[in-house]
Amino acid sequence: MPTDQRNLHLKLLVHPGYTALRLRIRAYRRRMATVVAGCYLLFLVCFSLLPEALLTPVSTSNPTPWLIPIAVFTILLQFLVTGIYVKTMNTVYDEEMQAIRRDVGL
Amino acid sequence: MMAHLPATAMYFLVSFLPLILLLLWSARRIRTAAEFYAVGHEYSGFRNGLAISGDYLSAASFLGISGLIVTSGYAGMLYAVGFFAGWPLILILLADKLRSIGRYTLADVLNDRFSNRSIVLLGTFGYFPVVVIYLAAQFVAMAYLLQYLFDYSYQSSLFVLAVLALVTAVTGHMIFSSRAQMIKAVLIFSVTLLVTALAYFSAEHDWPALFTVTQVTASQASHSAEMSLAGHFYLTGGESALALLSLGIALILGPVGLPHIMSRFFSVSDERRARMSVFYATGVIGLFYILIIVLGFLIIARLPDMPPQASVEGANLAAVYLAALVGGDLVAGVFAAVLMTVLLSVMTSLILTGSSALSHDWYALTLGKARNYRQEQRLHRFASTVSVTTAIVIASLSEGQNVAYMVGLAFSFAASVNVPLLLGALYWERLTARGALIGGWCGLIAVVAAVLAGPMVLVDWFGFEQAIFPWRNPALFSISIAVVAMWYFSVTDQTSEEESTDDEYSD
Repeated sequence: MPTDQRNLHLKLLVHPGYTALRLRIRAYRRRMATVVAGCYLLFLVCFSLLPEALLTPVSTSNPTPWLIPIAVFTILLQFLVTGIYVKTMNTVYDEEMQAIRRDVGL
Repeated sequence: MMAHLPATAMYFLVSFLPLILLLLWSARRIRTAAEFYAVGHEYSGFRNGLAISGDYLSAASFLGISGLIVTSGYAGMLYAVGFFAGWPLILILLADKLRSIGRYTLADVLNDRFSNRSIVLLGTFGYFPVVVIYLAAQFVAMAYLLQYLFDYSYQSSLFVLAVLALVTAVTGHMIFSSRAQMIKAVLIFSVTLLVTALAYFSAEHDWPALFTVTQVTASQASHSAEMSLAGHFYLTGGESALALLSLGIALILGPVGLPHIMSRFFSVSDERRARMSVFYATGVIGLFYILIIVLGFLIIARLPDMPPQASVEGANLAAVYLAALVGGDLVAGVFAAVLMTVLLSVMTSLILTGSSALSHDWYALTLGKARNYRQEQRLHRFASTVSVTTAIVIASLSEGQNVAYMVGLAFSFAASVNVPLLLGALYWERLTARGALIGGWCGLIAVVAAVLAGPMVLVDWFGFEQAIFPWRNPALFSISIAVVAMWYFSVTDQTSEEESTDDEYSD
């Protein structure tokens, strides 16, 4: 890395906004990872420990067991969480990071 | 069924040759990692997302899951949900992080974090069983397709495949590109949608009744007695709750440690496009697995009397039998051609990715030698040949195994070694070289021992009545050992104070 670039990079690392933003991104990632993993683990635990409950029909007129809509919902929910994560990272955090980088001249 | 085989085989050949030519035309020959990473730089997030889907949508897991739903009922659905669930985690935990530190492979991350050749070597060893078992699953699926189409025996089909794979291993560069993967994704998604639509609309179906317990129980009762290897577990009884938990953990964590998945996140030019790629890929893959679930229940509804040979095929061809029923020889032939094309494509990329892990990571990073293209190629060919030979031996012993189960087993290796190493190196500041090394080896030894002492090897391969280790997928056991060992040998490491931790790894 050329010396000018290295200096700008060091300036970025000590920028107070940069550290705060990285902490916020870290917390956000952890929250989203917990949601994704938690939602699957909940499905998995019900699947392993409560099979009889999952095989209960949705209603008297609909004999489909609860397992089917729950499995499809788990897949759709994970897709939705992925979408929210991508949207937030691309619009909120990336914009803030770009502003800080512009601030230090990178 | 037998009387229709020649016509199906003819339609297969007529469709297969243009498909292979299309893939070869669309691909570029890639010689170096730098070329690989440069391939997709001009692609949009959507196109790269399709390419990622092409990497992951495996015909083996498709054939295996639809068959498992037929024989094991609702339990087969765990594979569909689990195979998908790793995707958001890959995006959130890996994609951004690896891009931000500029490291693309497990070996790069380990080398960067620890500068310890033994740990990089361990990462390479961790890849080997993943690639070999994943490859063996492709061989099993392809052998059954050849058996169905040309009436070869299973072992003769494997022999043909072994010759083909060894030729690829010795002569092939990576015939691999984003465009070829996109075509693969479109092909497999389209035929799955076509067969599902044909199966649904060619007869009257009461949608809610399709998924009923009565229907599924009847299907299990008719198949489980004869499909001894395919029907590994049942939702009510059979496999223990802990064993199902273990399988579920392997399914979500396995993709995080797959060597051939991560690399494509870095083949677009910026982070935004990389994230959008994974978002689109997640959509395509999620829809695909929902389709497989529906297809599995449609097979139960339309094919209550499976052909007799299905009993020894691990139910791997259930979807192909359905295609023959609802679309005749033409649809079955085209369907088989697409599946074979996708299986062959996954086979070549696995052979070459797996061996490049050894030739690039081990040779260049572990041995610390200056890069020498010719020597690296020789090692590459050697590693390819060893991978193919081992995978063929495993496939030969695994006649009758369900291929989704085999993919799940490959995932348990990835989850036991690569994932703790990768996540530990990226996210745990206190992980030391000693902890990583001992923990990683403990995970590897635990998973190998549990599989060797487990039902697949002892009962299915060698005919013992009972296995020493009871679970078919040992991930929960081996991951726990790896994580506990990593933690213990890191916190008790007296040298840890001296080791530097890069700021980039503190997120």
